[in-house]
Amino acid sequence: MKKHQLIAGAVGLALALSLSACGGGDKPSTSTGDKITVLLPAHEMDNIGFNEQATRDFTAETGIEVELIYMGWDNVADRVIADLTAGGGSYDVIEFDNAWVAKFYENDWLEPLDSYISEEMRSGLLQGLLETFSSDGKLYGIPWNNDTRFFMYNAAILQASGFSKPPETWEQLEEMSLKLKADGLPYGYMDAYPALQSGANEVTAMVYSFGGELFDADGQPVMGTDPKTKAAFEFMVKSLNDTKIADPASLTADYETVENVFISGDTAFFIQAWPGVFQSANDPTLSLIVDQIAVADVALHANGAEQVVLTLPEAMAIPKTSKNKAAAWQYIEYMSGRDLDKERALAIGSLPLWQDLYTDTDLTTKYPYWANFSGQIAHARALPSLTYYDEYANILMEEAHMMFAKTKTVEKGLADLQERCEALAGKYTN
Amino acid sequence: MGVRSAVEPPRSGQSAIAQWRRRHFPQLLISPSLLIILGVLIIPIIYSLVVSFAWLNPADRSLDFVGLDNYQAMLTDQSYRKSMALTVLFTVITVILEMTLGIAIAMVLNRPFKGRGFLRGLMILPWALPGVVNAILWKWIFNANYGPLNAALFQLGVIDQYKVWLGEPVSAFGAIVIASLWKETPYVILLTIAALATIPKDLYESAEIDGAGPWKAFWRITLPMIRPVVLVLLITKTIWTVQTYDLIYIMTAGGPQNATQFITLLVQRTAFKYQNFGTAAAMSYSVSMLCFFLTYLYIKVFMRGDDWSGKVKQSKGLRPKPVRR
Repeated sequence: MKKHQLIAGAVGLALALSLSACGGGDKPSTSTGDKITVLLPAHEMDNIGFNEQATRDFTAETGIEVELIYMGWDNVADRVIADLTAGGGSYDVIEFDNAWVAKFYENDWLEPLDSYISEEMRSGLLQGLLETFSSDGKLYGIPWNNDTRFFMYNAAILQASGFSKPPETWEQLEEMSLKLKADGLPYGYMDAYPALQSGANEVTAMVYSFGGELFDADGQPVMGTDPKTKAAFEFMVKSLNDTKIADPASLTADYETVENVFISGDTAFFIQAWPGVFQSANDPTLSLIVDQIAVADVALHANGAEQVVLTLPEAMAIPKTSKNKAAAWQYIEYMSGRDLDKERALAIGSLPLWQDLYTDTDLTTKYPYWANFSGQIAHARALPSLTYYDEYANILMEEAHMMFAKTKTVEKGLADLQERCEALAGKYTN
Repeated sequence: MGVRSAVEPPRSGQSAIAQWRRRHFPQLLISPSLLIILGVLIIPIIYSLVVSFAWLNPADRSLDFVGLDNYQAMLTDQSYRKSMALTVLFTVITVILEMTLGIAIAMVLNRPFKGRGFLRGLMILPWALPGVVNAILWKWIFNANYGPLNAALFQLGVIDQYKVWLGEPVSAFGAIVIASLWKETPYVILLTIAALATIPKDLYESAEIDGAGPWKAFWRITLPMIRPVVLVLLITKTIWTVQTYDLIYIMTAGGPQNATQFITLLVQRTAFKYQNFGTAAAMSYSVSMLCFFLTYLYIKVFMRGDDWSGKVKQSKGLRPKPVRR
């Protein structure tokens, strides 16, 4: 039953990420180049060098030499955008983040992939992911990382304080966290709110979970007038300063720190955990909470709001400036191919990119807890699609930090944020 | 002129080509370097100046000239004004502290004592570390959950709960200053020790006979004698401090509340994240002007009466003065 729910969830994810569908086209003749350069961030779950090994296998099979450059996401972002803007042509395959779709499309930086992708691949990959990386009916990226987050918790800590099930609403989480703190736990949860795009991700997820909206359907900022967005920020401010159920170190924590604190048993809730957290938590060489982690059936939400989890998929794309497009496509096709996707999922526990792998018995046997994802994955939402997303994320975190520090009231902070976003939108429209 | 004088004068009976070659041989030798400098420095500087008066379309890299709009946009941008103010504040605090600490430590290390050589070597280590390593090191030290600073202060009873040093504007700014001092002060120490070694000992002996104490000897002998090195240090440290980038990028990414978003980070973001190359170029030129102005100011203040050809004239400024009882 759970498996069916998971399929339904995957389909739900596709629907939730509702962008325009892609067109078809003839596949061009493939001629392998001698060497390609690939620039990607490391997969957050790949602790064993799976993708590096797969790249070496690709070279052995095809004879195409690959210079694989792995670095942190922010460094990749800086390099990719600098190179594309300068028309450098340094890379043949690049990271294509879900937050960049509008900007990259607007600047016409990427090669459309409709004439490259096979029908089998187009119909086999999760449709929601393909749609996320499409714009104006054209496909620009092939997903390589289905980075969807889930609400997880430490069942042993909850049980020790007399709770038999996890919270479903923020109000319940607050109540339970206060009890856990009274019983000696330092904090109920930690989140990542650094002055980076990861901070913007988490703040956005919080707003969504309160039923709030930062932008309307036309992309106009509405955060200053939306009462649910205000409620979300008030909850964050209260959790950090008043009830202190959130670790104040959230202000500077990155995702790795949030994970480390959780698997050290210093927090009970992991609000937006990626699937690999489950494995890390059960790895006795890394974790102090082996056999204590559990996946909630329902993601956190405010009373009367829909449950929401964040999806941050990443794709590979080919810049128009690449001189080895055919070889670049061969690499993408190999790395996101069904067989390798299954191998990767078996090796590191990453969520599959191919729909049918969610019912693959090898995978469901190895990862029975995936069944619990089904309740949450259908409620996955992506980040706002904005041409000026990078600039917006920076001012979002600046204003958010002022609200968190109570330098500004939530009302004033959101009003200022809206005003600055409107100015930005105006600048990009003119 | 100096180059030409080093070449033999043309001899009578030589062909015109030989004479031309002999006269311009030095220029020929340096022309490859000049070409490289032209390619990687002069042309980009001119191009960025052009870009500062234009809108650069990221899609096709075409230029649309907009006059002074980018400079106007820069001056009305509250992020720019905040970043410039923060950069100037950071530069003033850091350079003053680096110079003061650096000269003081150099004075100590200039005195003979057991283990001086080892200590001198040790002092250089932070400066020899790559900037990125230094930034990661200090980010870890200030880590709110596992940082040794919190652990030490908590154990000593100075704090009753772990503090988020990089999460509050003032403490984050202070943390950047400390990390910068730790990395950059050894350079001041190194150059000051070298300068101190050139001061004749008999000057101090004479001063002592005249009854001058260490404090007076420092102001009347040491500082005037190392003044050229101090000037070079002030200029280079100021320019380098204004250019601080890796430290803030790694330690705070400009946060919290953009309290550590110095001008270099803002220029990088404006250009490569926001694709506003014209405004970023205008900002870059404003930084260059700031460095130029500060350098000019230092030279005016510190080299009053000195000849830049290398000869030091007798001046009324900081120069060795007779010590009076």
